[in-house]
Amino acid sequence: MQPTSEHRVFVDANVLASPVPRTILYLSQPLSDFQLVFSPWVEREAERHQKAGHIPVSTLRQRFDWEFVPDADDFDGLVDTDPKDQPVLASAVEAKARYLVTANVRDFGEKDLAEHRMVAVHPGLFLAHHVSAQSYREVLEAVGEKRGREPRDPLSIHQQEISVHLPALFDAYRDLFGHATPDTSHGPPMLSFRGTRCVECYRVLREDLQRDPGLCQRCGADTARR
Amino acid sequence: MLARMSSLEITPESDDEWEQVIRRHLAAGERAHVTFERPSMTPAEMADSIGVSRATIQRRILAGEIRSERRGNRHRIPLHEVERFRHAYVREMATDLAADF
Repeated sequence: MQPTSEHRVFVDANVLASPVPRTILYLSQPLSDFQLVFSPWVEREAERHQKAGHIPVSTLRQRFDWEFVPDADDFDGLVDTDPKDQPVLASAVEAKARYLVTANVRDFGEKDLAEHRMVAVHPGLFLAHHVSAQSYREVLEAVGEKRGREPRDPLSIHQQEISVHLPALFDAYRDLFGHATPDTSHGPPMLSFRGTRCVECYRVLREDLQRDPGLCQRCGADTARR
Repeated sequence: MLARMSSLEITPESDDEWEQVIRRHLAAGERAHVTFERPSMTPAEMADSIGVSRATIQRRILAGEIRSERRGNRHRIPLHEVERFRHAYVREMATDLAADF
């Protein structure tokens, strides 16, 4: 049995608009310990950036009952977040999310994240610490079965899509499907994590005890053992 | 009438000590009442566990897509059925999500 969702996660528009991160996040949700949410403003932004011909986010939300939370109407207190992203952070705070999953971590200010005990994290790094190997395997098998074009086998999807769009997830389960070679034509995100809480367990981070960025001492040691 | 002295939950994973515990209580002059139940969830618990709304679970129960048991006027979903639906739901979402993947 899966645990009851204890981590509420706010999804940014750039993740919702991007098919690979969105698919892996939403297929992992029923198999993991997090609950994904987003707001109407984020949905509109995502649809504005979706490629022509892709299924609109609002259609997927209604079809699969994805959780919608209200837009925040007050974000005056934010001081160092990019103004265009303030509606995202304010709505995440109002939704009582712990994590804000975004492709652009740098847009969210250190002071604002610390003030609201929020973690801004790239979807690949978030998934690397919240999805088990068994669940990741199940998700890639499901995608491979339903995908209309190549590659369809989990190893190839892992190498060609996950290594590009979710590099930290690829690294976490690098050889799960056999020897894997990443697509190195794309660089990793400039910044994957910003905040004062552990990306895995949400404990307060102590900078002097961090082995890996974003991980507390205990989770860092656990990750090293895995 | 007997006052309730203590309770003991036994699952398939429990070790054999439960039998000795019961015998000790019986030897002390107490009685034991045994109730067997299949582990299950309410629709709200299942919704929270899978990440959908309670209305969705209720709708799927009414449509016959989730098998439930009635206890009074409430539905209970056996854990094995929760797990079956969880994995079926991932496959169902994958049908649409993989189209743009």
